[in-house]
Amino acid sequence: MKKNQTNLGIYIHLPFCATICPYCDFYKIPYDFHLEKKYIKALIEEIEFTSTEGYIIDTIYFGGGTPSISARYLPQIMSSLKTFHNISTTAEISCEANPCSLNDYTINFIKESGINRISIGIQSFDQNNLKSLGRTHTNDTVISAISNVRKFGINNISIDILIGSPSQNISHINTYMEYIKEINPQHLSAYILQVEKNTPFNNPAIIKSIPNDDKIYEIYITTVGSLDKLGLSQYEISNFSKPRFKSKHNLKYWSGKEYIGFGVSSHSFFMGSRYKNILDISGYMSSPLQNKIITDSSPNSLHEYIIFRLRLVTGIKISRINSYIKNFEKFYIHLENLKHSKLINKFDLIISLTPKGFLISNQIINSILKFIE
Amino acid sequence: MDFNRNNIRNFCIIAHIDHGKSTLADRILELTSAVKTRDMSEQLLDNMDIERERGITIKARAVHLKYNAKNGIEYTFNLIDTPGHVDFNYEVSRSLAACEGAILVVDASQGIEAQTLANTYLALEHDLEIIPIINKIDLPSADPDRVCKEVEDIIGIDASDAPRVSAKMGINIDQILEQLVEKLPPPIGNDDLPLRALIFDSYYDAYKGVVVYIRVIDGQVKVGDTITMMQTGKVFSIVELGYMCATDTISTDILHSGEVGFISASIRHIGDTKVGDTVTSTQNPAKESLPGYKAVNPMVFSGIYPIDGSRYIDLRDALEKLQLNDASLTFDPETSIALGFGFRCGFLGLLHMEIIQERIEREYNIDIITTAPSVIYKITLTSGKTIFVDNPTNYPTLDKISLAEEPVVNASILSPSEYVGNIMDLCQDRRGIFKDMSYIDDTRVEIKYVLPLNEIVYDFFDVLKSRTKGYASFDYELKGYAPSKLIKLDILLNGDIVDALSFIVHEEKSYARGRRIAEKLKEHIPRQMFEVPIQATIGGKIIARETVKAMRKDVLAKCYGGDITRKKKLLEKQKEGKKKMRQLGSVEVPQEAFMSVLKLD
Repeated sequence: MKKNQTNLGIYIHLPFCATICPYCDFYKIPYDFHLEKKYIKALIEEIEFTSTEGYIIDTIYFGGGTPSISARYLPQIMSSLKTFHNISTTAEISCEANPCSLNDYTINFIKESGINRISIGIQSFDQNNLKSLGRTHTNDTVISAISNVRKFGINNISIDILIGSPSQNISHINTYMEYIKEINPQHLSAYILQVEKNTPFNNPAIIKSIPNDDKIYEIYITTVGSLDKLGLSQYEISNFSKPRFKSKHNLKYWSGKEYIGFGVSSHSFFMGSRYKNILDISGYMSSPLQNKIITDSSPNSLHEYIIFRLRLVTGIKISRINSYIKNFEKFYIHLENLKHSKLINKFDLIISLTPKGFLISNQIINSILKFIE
Repeated sequence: MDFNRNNIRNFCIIAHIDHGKSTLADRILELTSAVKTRDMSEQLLDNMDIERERGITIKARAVHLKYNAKNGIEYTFNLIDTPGHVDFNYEVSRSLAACEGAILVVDASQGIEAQTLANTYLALEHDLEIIPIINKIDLPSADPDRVCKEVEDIIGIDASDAPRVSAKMGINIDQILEQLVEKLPPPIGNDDLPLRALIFDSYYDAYKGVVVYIRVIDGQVKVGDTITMMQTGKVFSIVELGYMCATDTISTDILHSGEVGFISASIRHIGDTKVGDTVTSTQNPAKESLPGYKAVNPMVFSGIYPIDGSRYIDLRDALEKLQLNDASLTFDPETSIALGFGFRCGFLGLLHMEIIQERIEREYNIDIITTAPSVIYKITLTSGKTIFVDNPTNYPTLDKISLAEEPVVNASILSPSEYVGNIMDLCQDRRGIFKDMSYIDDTRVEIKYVLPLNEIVYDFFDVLKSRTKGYASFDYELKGYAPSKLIKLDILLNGDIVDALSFIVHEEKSYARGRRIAEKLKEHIPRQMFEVPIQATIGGKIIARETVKAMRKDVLAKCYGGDITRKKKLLEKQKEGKKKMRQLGSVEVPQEAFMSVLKLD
């Protein structure tokens, strides 16, 4: 191995979904057999003609959409990745999946392609709740899908749940925990539902049914505590894991490491610049090699360090920012105030947010950035 | 062209807000071919945006027009526009003094309003010939016969041949123009007398300096003449004379007595050209100045601060520029512990204050915070000394005061009689002393009260309107000072006094006011990282307390798939939002919070 080789993550976007969830704001397309075929062709072209020379790929992440719905193409995509990029033998290779499309047929392809981590979108363990989220699976589907995945020898399993879904309350969380205990995943993401403008969820009746900020606070804090008891400790605002099972790929986003995205709407942080691929599938397919648009050619690394590292429980090193602080005395008074309000942990060498602090991390991040210029 | 005084008509238009003055002026401009239709933007006379939006005229304007009458003679019309709001009473009186007649516009369904009545009386005092016209006859609710009778009954002028018009639809406007020719007297004047010209308005032009609108009463004035302003004693040499037309100006060498026009004389400061002052010849000065000059004094004061402290100099520049066109605006630097460096500004009234605020924000793009408006209190100290206080921060402690007095006004309210109860409740609540009530006709009353000025500077007019479904109208003039039990109320945020929120209030109302302000602030201060206690205190004693709870949850971005742009946008957006807020200690207070305490009902 050459000395100067650095690690790189690869993100691959597979946008097709069997049903469109009414809260989802990501780039997705209702499943279409012919479009899928054309898209995969373009995607493979992008993978094969984009050079990552000098890098070792240590993480690959298939996101969507619903990548499990396009499972039969995964071996082909992986084989072109392996042919044209330097994939580490120990790479973490994750794939998102919908419980409804995890069956012997699809898992077989997933396994065959070399994927060793599966992230399953469950969102809720309450049937009414699931219905309001437009999810078609049941808890039985989930349990059998997961045992199926394990049967195929994939033992690194992550599940997604949503906090703040319509009518959610603390008693739901208790139910969730019983199921999570039973599933015993290695990793869990608990995202807070955010109603986005261009989604069907952006309507007054739905917004009214969503727990208010005080309720969400209660649910979130309870969730963090309960997951900890199940051995899933928090390592980021929304992410929890068993020891040694943090998502290596997602950690790259938060710790300023490089990654490259393939496919429509994917993002990259590569050779010092941030890029995004265009948000339109036909535009993407017509020229898969010419759609990376620079969004930031010289990201402010100090700002990004503060913005993204504060998402992690490990926080930021005071020594890293010290020399940029404008008014030291006021800064420390501010930190004392934050600590006093239990928004940050006791600080000496690092500043890190408490769960209470995570929930208002934007406020805290901006209040810290104010001291830096 | 020979000058013929007999073919001049100088007139103004008196109308209540919304009764169609500006629309009528536009129609007159069209019919006198002063404006080609393609130059017409709606309502030419009001050429400030704010005026157009609010449908009011803030400052007087004069327009020089030519009209070919049915008798075959071409007449010169000088239409002098007048402000329609109570804050600008004095300016109105000076505009009237420049005219021989006035068109009285009355709404065909709403009839006469207090403001119109006040200005009509003012016009009659100046011996102006009044031409009543009934406007908006196109409305279904129009009742011109009733309104004509009202004009005759209330004002006592003949309205039998009053033109019935619709300015909006352009109906019967020619009748008005003919009546101007027939009924208005031409100006009387004598070019041989020493020059006396009345200043009725002025504005600042970036190239010419201050341009002064005048009506020549006696004598004549020529380009090159040296002139003296009789009040200020300033001397200038005339560079240009001319007439203001609707879309441009016409230069002339001479202005004769009876004419209306403008003077440009390299005048730098608008304060040198006071409205109501007399312009005379320096070589051959008049013995006496024209009657009626009055120094205009601001009645309402408030602090104006930039939200972004670094824009203090920009704010000063903006105020200086605004003052160039508005001599009644005053400002002095002041400092607030909470808000930093700003200015104590004086205004003619609350509307004037709002207009200035809006212009600073719109025309100069400076976000500002305005402190609660205050009137000037007259305080006799125990030492025997008398002081005037226009800033609550400087209000002495009670032990140092032997007598506190506040300004009071004579207020007149016109309203349909069914709202008398509501109006009396309101005036009583505002510490009014009832003086008189008279029926104007079967359905309308005029109610007179003496009211403390500090009770009407906040929101009196708004509340009056809402309690009378918009029908009541209101006019006031300063009466003098009256003893009062006044105390200073302080507001604390997170334990610290915010001096910018302190204000003077009558003892009886202090508790209710304190509670209401605390509630209002709670509504308008957003939840933040820390809990924010709000307290209202009098002399250190807490009389009200509210708490803004700590923020529990932000909008969090997932950074899904490495999309970090969204997160950055969120942070940027939040930062932008914070720019609109003022940091007071650890508390961020939005502009609306400062404004909210002004409107408590």
